Amino acid sequence: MADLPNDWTLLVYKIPAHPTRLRLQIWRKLQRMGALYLQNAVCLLPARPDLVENMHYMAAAIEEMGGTCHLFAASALLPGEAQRLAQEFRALADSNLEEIIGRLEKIGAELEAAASPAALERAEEELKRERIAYLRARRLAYFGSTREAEVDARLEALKRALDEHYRTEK
Amino acid sequence: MRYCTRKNVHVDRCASAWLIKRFIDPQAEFVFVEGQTPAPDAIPFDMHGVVWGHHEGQCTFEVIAALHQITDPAIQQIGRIIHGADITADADETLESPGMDLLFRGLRLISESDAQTLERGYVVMDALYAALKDAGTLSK
Repeated sequence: MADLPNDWTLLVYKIPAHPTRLRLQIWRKLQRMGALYLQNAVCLLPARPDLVENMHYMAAAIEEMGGTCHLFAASALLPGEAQRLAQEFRALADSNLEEIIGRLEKIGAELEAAASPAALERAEEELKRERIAYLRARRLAYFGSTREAEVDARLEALKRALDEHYRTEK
Repeated sequence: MRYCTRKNVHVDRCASAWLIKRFIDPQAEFVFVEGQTPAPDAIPFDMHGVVWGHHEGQCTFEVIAALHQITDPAIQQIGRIIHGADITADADETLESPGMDLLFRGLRLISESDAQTLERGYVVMDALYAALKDAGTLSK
């Protein structure tokens, strides 16, 4: 296996206990950046320049809300650790894509049962939303995902099914 | 006046330099520094802990526009686009944001210096501004 990148940006932070929304706000932002939590208030991202920059923004935001933080450029030193981290990032991406797959299955079932133009339109709207959710999730899949091919195939199949429904409607 | 920012400029620094040059100081000169220590005799922007930087969830472009009370709706809209392009967690801020992020990453890759990235970035920003100023383009 080719060597995986082993350059990370690591954020360790502490946020005032009150109001509790501050902690949640930071956690949600880091989630939306695709950060991997190693433990409570310790998370990391690959050291891609834009992600390092975004970690700086998070550090500034934490300081602005009265918290403290440490931001490091880090390398994993334990044997196999870089692979484990990459695997955890992949697992995170897999779990995001699995949620999408679940919702796509539901849309598929709705499509099969679609009895009216309104139901068809609803399924089309939902499919659009899932396509966007997939683009977002893929952007954050820094080490790829084992489920991408499945999502691609399901999106394509649903699109074909929808087209077929519209054809037969007319 | 001289202005300084970090080396390896990306979308927020390019857009902010354009904003400074076109709306605040046409004679602006830019210098680029390693790390987070501003150059002497220069106004720092998009650096950690400076006034013209990220504050309260806003990107540097938005902060500079607000500090200078630039209320042009096209600039406000560009602010949202740059915000989403620069802040990964808010990439969905506008439909244009992920595209701008990618475009400016590419600009950095094909340019020989930060000064050249800024110069090329001005063309992109001028074009974006023109499109948004064009009647009917500006999203509400």
